[in-house]
Parts: sequence; structure tokens; C-alpha cells
Amino acid sequence: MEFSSASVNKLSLKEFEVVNTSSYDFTGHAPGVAGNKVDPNQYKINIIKQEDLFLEFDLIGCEPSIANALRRLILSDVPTMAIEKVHIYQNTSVMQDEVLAHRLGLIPLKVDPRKFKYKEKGAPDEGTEEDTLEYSLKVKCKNKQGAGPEADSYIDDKIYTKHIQWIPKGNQEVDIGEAGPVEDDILINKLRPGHEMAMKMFAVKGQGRDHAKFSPVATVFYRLLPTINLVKDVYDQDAIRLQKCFSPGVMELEPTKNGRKKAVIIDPRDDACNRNVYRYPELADCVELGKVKDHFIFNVESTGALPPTDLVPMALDILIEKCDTFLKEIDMTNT
Amino acid sequence: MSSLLPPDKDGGNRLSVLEGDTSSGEECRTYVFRKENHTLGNCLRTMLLKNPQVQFAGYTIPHPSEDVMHLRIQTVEGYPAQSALRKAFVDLKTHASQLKTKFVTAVDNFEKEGS
Repeated sequence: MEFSSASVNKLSLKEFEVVNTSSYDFTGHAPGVAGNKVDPNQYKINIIKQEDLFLEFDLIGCEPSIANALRRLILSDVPTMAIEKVHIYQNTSVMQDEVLAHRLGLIPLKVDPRKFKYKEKGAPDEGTEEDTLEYSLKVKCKNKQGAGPEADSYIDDKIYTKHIQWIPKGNQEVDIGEAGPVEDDILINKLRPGHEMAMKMFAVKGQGRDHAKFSPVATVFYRLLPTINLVKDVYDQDAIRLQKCFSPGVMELEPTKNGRKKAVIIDPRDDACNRNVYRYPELADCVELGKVKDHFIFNVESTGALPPTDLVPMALDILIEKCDTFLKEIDMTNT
Repeated sequence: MSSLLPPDKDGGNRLSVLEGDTSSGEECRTYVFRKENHTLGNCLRTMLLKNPQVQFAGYTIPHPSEDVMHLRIQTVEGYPAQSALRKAFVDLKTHASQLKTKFVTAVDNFEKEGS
């Protein structure tokens, strides 16, 4: 096993194993900063892409436990509003009441949960303006006047989220503005003439750990930055084969002075780390594959309630709040 | 702005100590956390392992059906396990605040560059 200053930071992807993964899981070996001081420039964050509901950013210099905690917090602890109670007055459609209620709960709502309080256990369904949002869905399917039995001859046969109406309580219209579903074209149910749906829905604040409908993200995941090290020069046919082993854009062929083509690494970031190189024994010893242990590439995709650039600070706020709660308890038992 | 975490409906303390250690001194303790899991446990363990006065730090979730986490701390002579735990929380809070400021600055810079 080679020890070099480079290997401290990198884990190696060998053919049948991954080595050098542990990050000092034992005491007395804390690398870098001494236990007492926290280096203010330890972390580096670079935003790579930010579009609408997608966010890709790099978190460098972080411990894997903190990166994972951030991922777990966004997934299950950052709150959202979602429909929880459905009062069904009329449902003659083909879909059962409970299935319909389940689908309504999964609809993402474009509301900022920070403006609301958690509802108390045992409080009535209707709730107050501070902890509940009320919606109504009232549709009846009819035949189009003078139309035959072909398709497209019904009115209101496909029920979308645009049919859901928000009924503001108290001051909500002023304080919150709009509180409808994020997308207008989510299909809820299909009806035929004579079917009718009439119901009232109540949305509350909840966390993803309680039910996945409350999770603010479609998903959030991270991966480590791959590294590829060319140990030997590779030319011509071998270089073409080597290039095909990696994802597109990772390796390119550059012409040399002799007229040959040489394999050159452009950007290992996009590599999918499929270790295809090991399928060709003659190419396997030309490259060294690895990953940088403290460089996390995060991907956050929000469902629409909150922008992804708000989710990360909220998750860190929750972590800080947890620390504060326990610090208070420790100090109380001391005094 | 209301708190991001839901209020604790069961009341009582979220943190308690497993019995049996007090006779051996202040340097070893198993702390019992209610309603916590790997999110906090792994972070605390990492912060504790960075402390040179901690001899042993590990966490476990005894059973997945119960929302309980145990954190075992053993320290050098003269340094109480509770101080190590307190320091771990303070360090974790500092790291989280730093991450937050770095992230918010990075977002601001990115938006300024774009416009």
C-alpha cells in the first residue's frame, strides 16, 4: 500500500476493490486542523449550475458525515405544506376515496412553509389561518352539447390540479398571496358524464420523515469528484479504445508531432466511474482511477415549493437548531 | 419566523444518560438521544474524534423501530465526557454556520456573475 501526500485525499478504484476509503475513524489522528480551532477557510462552495428548480454545487473540504447530514436533512427534516385531511362530500368517480385522497396529498403546493406553524396534535381539521390551508375541488362531468359518442365529447372529464381552488382564511390572502399547486397540469382523476367530485382539502406543515409527500425535493444526491491519472502514454488504436472506456468529454485524442494521436485527459468531472478500463488488461495499467475524498458534487432538485438555493441554508439552520436544543439541555442539567 | 423543527410533543428531555457509568468516574458515558438518528449521530462522532482528549467515540441505533440513538464517549483522565459532548456540539454548530455563510455568499456571487 503506497503512502503519499496525494493518497491522503484520494481513494483508489481498483479492479475488484476500493481502497483508502476510511477517513480516520479512530481517535488521535485528526488530520489538518488541531482539535481546538475551526479553520474559517476550510470549506469552499462553488455553484456550478442554477436553473429554476435544479441546483448543482461543489462542496470542498467537508467531512463525509456532514455532507451526508446535509443530504439527510434536506430530504427528511426541511418542512413543506401538503394536503393531509380530505373531507369528501361527493365522489361518484371510478377512483376510490382513499386512493384519491392519497393522490391529493402528493400534489406539491407552492407555499413557503416558513410562514406557517406546525399544527398541534388533536386540533380540528379546519385549523387556524396560522397552521392550515384550505382547498376545494368541485367538478361534474357532462356531455358536450350536440356531440356524438366520439372522444373529446365530454366537458371536465380529465381533472387536473388547475381545478383545485384555494380558499384563503382570515388574513392569508394578504400575507401569503398565492398558495396553489406548483404545476397546473397534474392529472388527478378521469371522469365520465354523470360523475361528480366535491371535496374540501386541508394542508398542513410536515416533515419528510413523517411522510414522503412533505419532502421538499424530488431528490438530493452527491457524488465524489473522480480523478484519472495517466501513468503511461497511450497512442492511436489503444487511445481510441481508452477514450471509449470513459464517459464522453473526459478524454480526447490530440495529434502529436509524429502524426500519431495521443490520449489526453480533459475533464474527469463528468466521468461515471464505471471502471470500464479494467475490461482491457493491456489498458488497465495505463491509468489510475480514484476519487477525491472531500470534494462533494451535490445535486438538489426541488419540487417547487421552495427554490433549491433556500433549501440548503434551511437544512443547515435545522442542524444549528438541533445543536442549540441539546446545548440548552446540557447546560440545564449542569446548573 | 417560526421554528423549523416541530415542537416535542412528548415533553421531557431529549438527552439522557445510560446508568452504570457514574461509579467509574466522569470520563466515560453513554448518552441516549431520543428522536435522533444518523444525521446527528455521525456528525457528533466525527466532531468527537477530532478532539485529541477523546479516547473512544462511537454511536449506535439499538433498534430501527425505536427512534433512539446511543452515543458512547470515553475521554482521558480529568476531562469529563460531558465537556467533550458539549464541545462537539459547539464545533458542529460552528461548522454548520460557516457552511451556511459560504453557501449564501456563493449563491450571491453566482447570481451577480449571471446578471
